[in-house]
Amino acid sequence: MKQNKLNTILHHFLNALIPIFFAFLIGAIAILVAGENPLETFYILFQRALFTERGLTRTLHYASPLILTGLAIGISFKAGLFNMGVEGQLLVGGFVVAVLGYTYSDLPSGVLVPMLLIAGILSGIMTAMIPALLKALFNVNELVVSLLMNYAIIHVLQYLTTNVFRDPSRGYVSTHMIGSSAILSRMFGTRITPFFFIALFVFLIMYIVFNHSKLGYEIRAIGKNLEFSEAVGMNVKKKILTIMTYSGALAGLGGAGWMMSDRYAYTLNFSGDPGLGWDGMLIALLGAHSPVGILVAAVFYGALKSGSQAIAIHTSVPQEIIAVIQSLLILFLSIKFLKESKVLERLTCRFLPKQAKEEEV
Amino acid sequence: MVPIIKTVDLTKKFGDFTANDAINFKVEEGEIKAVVGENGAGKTTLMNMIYGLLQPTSGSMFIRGQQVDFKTPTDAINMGIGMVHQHFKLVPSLTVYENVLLGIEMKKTVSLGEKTFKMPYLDKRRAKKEVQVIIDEYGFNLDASSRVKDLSIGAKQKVEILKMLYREVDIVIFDEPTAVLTPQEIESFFKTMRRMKEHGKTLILITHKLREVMEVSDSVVVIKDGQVVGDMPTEKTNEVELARLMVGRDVLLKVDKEYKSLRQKPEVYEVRNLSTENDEGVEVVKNVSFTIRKGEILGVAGVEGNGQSELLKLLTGLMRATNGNVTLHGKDITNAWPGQLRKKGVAMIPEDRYIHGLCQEMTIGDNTIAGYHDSRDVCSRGLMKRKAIEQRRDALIDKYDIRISEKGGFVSSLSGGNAQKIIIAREFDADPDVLIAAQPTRGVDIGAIEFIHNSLLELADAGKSVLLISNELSEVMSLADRIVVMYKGEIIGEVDAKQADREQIGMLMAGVKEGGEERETKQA
Amino acid sequence: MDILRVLYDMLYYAGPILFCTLGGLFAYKVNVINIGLEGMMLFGGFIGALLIFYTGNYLLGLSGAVMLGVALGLLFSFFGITKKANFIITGFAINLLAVAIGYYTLALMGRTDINVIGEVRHMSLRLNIPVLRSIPVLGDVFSGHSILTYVAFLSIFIVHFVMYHTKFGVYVRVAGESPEAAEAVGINIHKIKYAAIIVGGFLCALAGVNVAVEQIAAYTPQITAGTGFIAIAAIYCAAGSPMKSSGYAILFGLMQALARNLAVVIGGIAGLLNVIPYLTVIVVLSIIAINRYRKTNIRGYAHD
Repeated sequence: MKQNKLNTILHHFLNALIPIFFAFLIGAIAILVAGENPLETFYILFQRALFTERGLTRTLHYASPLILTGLAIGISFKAGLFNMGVEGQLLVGGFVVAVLGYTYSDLPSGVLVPMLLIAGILSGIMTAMIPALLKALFNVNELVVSLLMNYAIIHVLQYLTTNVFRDPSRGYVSTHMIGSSAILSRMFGTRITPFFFIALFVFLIMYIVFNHSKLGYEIRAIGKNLEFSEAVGMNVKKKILTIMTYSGALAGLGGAGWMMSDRYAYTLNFSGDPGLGWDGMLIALLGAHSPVGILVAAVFYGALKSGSQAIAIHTSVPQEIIAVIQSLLILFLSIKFLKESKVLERLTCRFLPKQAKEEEV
Repeated sequence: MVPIIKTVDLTKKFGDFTANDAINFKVEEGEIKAVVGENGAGKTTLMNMIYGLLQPTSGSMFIRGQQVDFKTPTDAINMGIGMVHQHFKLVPSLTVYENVLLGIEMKKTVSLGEKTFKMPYLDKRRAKKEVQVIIDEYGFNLDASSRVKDLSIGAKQKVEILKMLYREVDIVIFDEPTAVLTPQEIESFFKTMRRMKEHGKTLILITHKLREVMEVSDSVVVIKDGQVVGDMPTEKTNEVELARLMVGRDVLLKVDKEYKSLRQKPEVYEVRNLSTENDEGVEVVKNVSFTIRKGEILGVAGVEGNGQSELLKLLTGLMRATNGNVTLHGKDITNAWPGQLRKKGVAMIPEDRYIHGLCQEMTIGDNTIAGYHDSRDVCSRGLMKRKAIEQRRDALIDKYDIRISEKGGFVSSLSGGNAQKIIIAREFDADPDVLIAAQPTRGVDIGAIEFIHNSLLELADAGKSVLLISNELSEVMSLADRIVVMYKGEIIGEVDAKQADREQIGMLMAGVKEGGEERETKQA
Repeated sequence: MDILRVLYDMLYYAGPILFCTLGGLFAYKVNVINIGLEGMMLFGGFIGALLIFYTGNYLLGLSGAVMLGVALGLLFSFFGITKKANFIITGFAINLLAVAIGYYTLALMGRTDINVIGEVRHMSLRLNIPVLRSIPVLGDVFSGHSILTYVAFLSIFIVHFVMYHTKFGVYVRVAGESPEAAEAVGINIHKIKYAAIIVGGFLCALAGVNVAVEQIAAYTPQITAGTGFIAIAAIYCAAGSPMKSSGYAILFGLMQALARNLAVVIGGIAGLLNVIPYLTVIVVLSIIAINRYRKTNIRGYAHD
C-alpha cells in the first residue's frame, strides 16, 4: 500500500515535470531567436517571481483567479464534460461586476463587496447554463457550444463596452471604474488582496467536494465510465447541470475577484492574452484535475506571469514568451509520459527490495 | 508427411502474465483440428500468433516445414492462412463485395491502344462480378452488393468465409464460430466446413463446446492455463475426458435444479405489449408480454441480435418504450429511470460488465456502492463515509468469495469471474424483488459459472423473481422454470423448461413456430 | 442591401470555412476530432504572410504554409495517435501555440501586424474567369474571387471523389467505422490516421493563406476568429458527409456575409451583428442535436 502511494505521487510529479522541461527547452530556442541567454532569462523569471517579497506576493495575487478558473475547468474535465466556456463565463462575471460596482458605488463596502461577488457568481452560472441546458436536455455537444459562445460573448461585451457603458473620459475603450467601496484593497502593504484568501477558502471547499462528497464520487464515476453511471442509476442529467453550475460559479467568481482586486474597470483586454480561462485549462491539466495539483499549478503559473514582467524589464525578450511556453506546456501535457507506473515500480522496487517481494507473494 | 502448421515452444507473455507457455502444436494438411479450452486458457492467443495479430515472445512457427515470422496478418495471408473471428471483422456500412475485397481493392484499368493504365480510382463493377462468382461457386445464397449491416448473422459469417476464399487461403482458423448461431445455422455451418475440407482446405476450429468437437473434428488439442494438456484423434476420446482435461478436475456438466410448482405464487413482475424502435425506426422489440411469479426464473432464449439487448435496455431504464407497459406488484414502472427502478427493488446484471456493470478505474469499494451510494449507510449530509464503505466492501468480499490481491485496488485488476461477483454482490445485497440478469456468465471461468448459477437459484428459492436473458441455451435450459424465445423482436414461443428439448427451442430460435410454419425471413 | 453583394461575400467567407471543414472531415472519419484546425489555419496564414513579407514571393509563402500545415498534421498525429495523447487537448495546444507564436513574433518584429498589401497588390490573385463572368446576373457573384477560393470550392468535389471512389477513401472510412476489420486484413490504421490528419493540416494551411494573404493581406493572430470551430460544427452537423458538411460551411459563410452587409445598413448596433455567425452555428447544431435526440429511444449521453 505504502509503496503504491509513493508510486502514484512520484508518477504524478514526473508526469508534470517532464512536460515542463520540454516546454522550457523549446521556449529556450525562442529566446535564442530573440538574441538572449535562455538560462539567464529563466533565472530572472523565477528569481524575481519567487524569491523576492514583491515578486512572491505578486505571484500569489496572480494565482488567485487562476486557482478558481483551474478548479472550474478541473471539475468539468473530471466529469468528462468539456466546459470550454470558462473564459466567457469569467468575462461576463467581470463585466457585470464592473457595471454594478460603478452603478452602486454609494453602497458601503460591507454590503457592496458580497453583493458583487454573488453577482459575479450568478452571471458565471447563467452563462454556463446555456451549454449546460442544451447538453442536459438534448445532448448537444457542449464543447462546440461553450467554445463558440466565447466568441459571441466577446463581441457582445465589446459592443456594450464601446457603446453603452463606456467611460467617455478615458482615451481607450473602457467602462467606468468601480467605486472605491467595491475594491478589494491591498493588504500588509503588498500586492495580496482579500481575493487571494477568498480563492484559498474556495479551494478548501472544492477539496472536500472533490475528495469526500457524494458529488465528488459521482463526478469520478461519470468521468471514468458514463454508461456505468447511467446504468447504476445516477441522474446524469442533474449532475451535468450541477457540475456546470459549479464550473460557471467558479469562473464567475474568478472574473468578479479579478475585477475588484486588479482591473477595477472592464477593458477589451480584461482577461489578458490568452485569457485567464485558457490559463485555467493549463492549470487543470498540470494539476491532473486534482485540487491540490491545481493549487500548486496555479501558483506556478502565477509565478510565470509575475516573472514575465521582470523579463520584459531586465531583458530584451518580449514578455509574450510566457504564452509560448504555456502553450508548449499544454501540448506536452496532453501526453502522459509515464502511462503505467511500471517503470517507477521497478525503480522503487530497487530502493525497497524487501517490501516489494513480500507484496508479490 | 510434414505437418502444415507446427509450433515449437511457442510462448506469449503479456507483462508478467504468461498466456501461452511453450506450446507445441501440430496440424496435418486437410484435417479439421479442434482446439478446446476454457475462456482465458490461451487458445485465442495461440491462434492470433499463427494469424500474425500477435507476435510470440519466444519459440518458433513452421508452415509446411518453413520457419515463419509473421509481423502482420498480411504475412499470414500470404502464406495461405486465414481467420474467421468470433466477433466478425466486417464493416457494416460497406457492401458484401467491398468487405470481401477490403485491403485488396481493384483499381480501374483503362486500355489505350496496346497499353493499359491503372487509374487511381476503384473499379466497383468488376469487383462486384468477381465476388459474385465465388458466392455462386460455394452455393452461398448472397447478393454481392447488399450492405453487410442488413445481413443476418449466419450470412455475415459467410461473408467472413468469402474473404478467406477470395484470398485463396488453404488454412482457415475459426474462432468460436458457432457462438452466435442457431442450432440449425450450426448444422449448415458444419456442412460448409465439410465442403471446404473436400476442397482440400485445412481447418482449425477453436471452441469450448465439446459436442461440436466430437461431431465435426478429426483431432483435438486441449489447452489449459496456456499449456497443451491433451492432443489426440477425436475418435479416441469423449466429452467427459475432454471436460476433465479442460478444467483439471471432474465437472458436473449439469446444474441441479428443483422444479417447484409456482402456479399458486403471486405474479410480481408483468410486461405487457412492450415495444420500441431503434434509431432507424425499425421496431426492434415488438409487443413483448410476459409475467414472472414470485420465486420464478423466467429464461429468455434466442440468437444474439433478436431484440434481447433492447429488451434489457427497456427493462433497466436505458431505453424508452414506444408502447406497452411494465408493472411491479401492480404498480406502473414503465419508462422509469434506472435510479427509480433501483429504489423500487429492481436490480440488474448487465450484459457487458465493463460498460454498464462496473467502473474499472474505480476501487472495489467504490464499485460495491454504485447506485446505492446515497443510502444512509455510506453517505450522510452529502459526504461519503469512507470507513463504512470499506467495512461493507470487506463483508461482501467474504460473503461472495471474491478473490483479490489487494482490497483497495481497482476493479481492472480482477479476473472476469471475480469482477462479475462484485456486480452480483452489489445487486444481491440490495435485496431486490426482481433481478434482471443478462449473460451472467459470459467470459467467466467454470468455477465462477457454478457459483453464479447457484446464486441465481438461491435467489429464486428466497422468493425473488428473476429474468434471465442469455445466449447460452444450456444455461437458460438448466436454470429457468419457463423459457420464452425471442425472434426478430418478438416472443415467438414459450416452453416449460422441465420438459423442454433443445431441438424444439432451436426451431423457435430460427423463427419456426410449432406446426412447421416458417416466418418470413429477409435473408437466408 | 445588395443581394448580389451578399452572395459574393458568401462565397468569399465560405472559402476558408470550406478548407477547414474538408480538412477536418478526414480526421472526423477516422474518429479524431481535430480541434487544432483553427491553429493549423492560423499557422498557415502566419508563415504565408511572413514569407511573402520578406521575399515578396507568393508561391514561396504558399508552399511554406503548406509545409508547415503538413508538419503540424504530423505533430498532431504523433501526439494523438502514436503517443495516445488526449487529442482534444493537443488540438487546443496547437491553437494556443499558433496565437502565442504569432504575438511573440510580432513583438520581436516590433509590429502590430504583418502587412503584405504592398507585396500582394501587383500580384493578380483575383481571377476573372470569362466563363463565369458571362453567366447572366450572377456573373459578378462567381467571378473575381481569389485563386484559393476557387480551389476551396473545387475541393468539395475532389474530397467527395477521394472519399467514395478511391482506396484511400475506403480505408479512411473503414479505419473509423471498424478498425478491427481493417487490421484483420492487414491495413495499417496508424498510417491511414496519420494521412487523414495530415490532409487536414494541408487544407487548413490553405485556409490561412486564403484569409491572411489573399483576402485581408495582413496577418494578426485574430484573423481566424473561430473559423476552425465553425468548421468542426459544420462537420458535426452533417456527420462527416463531404457534400452536406460543405453545405453547412457555405451556410455559415452566408451568415458572415449577412452580418457584414447588414452592418452597413444598420450602423449603430453593427458591432452586435458579429455574433450572428456564432449564434447560427450554435442554433443549427442544437436543432440537429435535438432532432437526433427526439428520434432516438435510447437514453443517456453516451449515445451519439
